[in-house]
Amino acid sequence: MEFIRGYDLAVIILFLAAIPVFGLFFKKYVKSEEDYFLAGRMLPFWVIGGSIIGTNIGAYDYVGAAGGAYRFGLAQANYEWLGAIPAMILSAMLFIPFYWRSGAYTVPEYLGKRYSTAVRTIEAILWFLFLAAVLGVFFWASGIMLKGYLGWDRTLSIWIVAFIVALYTVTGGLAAVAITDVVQILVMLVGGLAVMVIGFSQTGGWTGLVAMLQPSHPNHFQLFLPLDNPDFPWLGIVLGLGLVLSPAWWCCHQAIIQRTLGAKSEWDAKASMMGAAFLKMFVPLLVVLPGLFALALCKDPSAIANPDQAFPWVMRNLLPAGLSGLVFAGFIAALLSSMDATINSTAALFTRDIYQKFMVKSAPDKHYLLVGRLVTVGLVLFGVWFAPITDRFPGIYRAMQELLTVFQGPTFAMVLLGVAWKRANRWGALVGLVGGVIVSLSLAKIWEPMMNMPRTGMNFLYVAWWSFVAALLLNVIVSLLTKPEPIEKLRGLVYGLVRDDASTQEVLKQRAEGGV
Amino acid sequence: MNLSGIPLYWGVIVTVIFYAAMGLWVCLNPGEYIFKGAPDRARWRDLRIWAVILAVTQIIIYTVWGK
Repeated sequence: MEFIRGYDLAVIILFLAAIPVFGLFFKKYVKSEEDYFLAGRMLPFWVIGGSIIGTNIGAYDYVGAAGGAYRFGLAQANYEWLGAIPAMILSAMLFIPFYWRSGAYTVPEYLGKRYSTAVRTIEAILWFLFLAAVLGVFFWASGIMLKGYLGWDRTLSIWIVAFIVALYTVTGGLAAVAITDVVQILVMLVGGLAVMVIGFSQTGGWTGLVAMLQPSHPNHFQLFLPLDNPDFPWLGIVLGLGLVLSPAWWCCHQAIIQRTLGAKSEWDAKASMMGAAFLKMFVPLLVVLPGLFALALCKDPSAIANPDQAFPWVMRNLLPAGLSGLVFAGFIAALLSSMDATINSTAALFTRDIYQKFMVKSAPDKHYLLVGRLVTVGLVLFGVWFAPITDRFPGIYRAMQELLTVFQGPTFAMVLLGVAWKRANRWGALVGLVGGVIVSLSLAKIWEPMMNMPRTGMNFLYVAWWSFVAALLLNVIVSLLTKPEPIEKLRGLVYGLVRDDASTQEVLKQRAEGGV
Repeated sequence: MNLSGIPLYWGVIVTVIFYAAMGLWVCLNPGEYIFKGAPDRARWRDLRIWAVILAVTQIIIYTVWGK
């Protein structure tokens, strides 16, 4: 606790108190389910863009990506560049317009309109389970960070974070989530810039940093690593990350896409993702550089026994009083912005795709609003309970990737064909999805780390690629062997069948108003 | 098939082609699609320009630090 200074604590407490108060301001604007989950479809592009990046930069980035940079160097930045920018452009120009026009609240809801209820339900359950598990990862990361920096008890830290995030997420919905995310991203950027300036001043700038590390770590300043690298083989980065995992994340991830569905126009929806891509280019400065600074400046290797301790080490040892409080507030901002988005999106999935579809089909709007809020509370409690279980994985960031890999490839194959190929039908989607997940599971052997068994599964980047290929082939073959979907059903939902004439817009409007 | 002999610069080449193709594809979209829902057609709202700036920046980054 010797590194806690009065100024730091004051900044941290001020920030922790301000965010929920700021978020609670939006409670009065939430009158319906649409207000709660889509902010009344009134958000401008710059709010959504900031919120997308706030959602994307999470605790796993600060802790895990800095740890990854400590171990592998610049190659970690692939997650922010090749593993994001092309997919964000693709998402903005190809996927988001179709989601937005369909009037859906969730990605599975779009898939229900495009394919069938069965596909929608499977996808909703998969996403629901994945996002709920990710919540556990987020909460666990918060426990590690608060314990590492403030010396607080890990369990107590998790409960404090859970209380703060629940306070404004439950009451203010997506509007509170999105606006607080913008504030949080500003805090993160200021904090990140401070780390960068101080880090470079101690290493003698970029040239000095390279000179310090290059002799002992020759591969730390190249984005691509040789094919025999077990963690970041360049072909795996290009095929698995660039072509599958990244598009799956940016084009199909419910927490990301839901923000764009709250846009006030189609242009705002597209521009929000493009604008977020500009911000994304600077993220390595926040999350990769601290790992390199720690490697260059920490003279006692035992101080960073686990690479995930690289970022806490930088905050404890590099930053002056007051400033480390601000950077730490940036870390908490990253945590909160990812958690609030995940909680809100997961609640939307359950309320729209499971509860409203199968349990209570036609209740007053206020009823679904109440259900959404209750599910939000339930998810927070689940995340707190699940947090310690995520510790069984070898690293926080990897844990998330392991979970993603299982169904991201098959999901992306199904959504890609759904948007781009009118011949893809419900049977192809169903077989492709289930078959792809089976391929994923058998290649990744994801149960091994969960049961404390030695890992024998394939690198997750290759798992993503092969499960995507399997799902794509299965979808195409089965679709061609079975009856096509009627053209009327596909109008406005498939690239090439989009017409901006009044009749199509009327059909889409009716679908949107028809709810589920 | 042994792939370990493929040199690193192939990763850079594939990445540059990837970004260039992406930028080109966005530029081929008609203005009507790009500006749909926008209040006006101001130059700064042209998402094709946004995409080109992103793609070119990334091409430079991967050319410099790729291998």
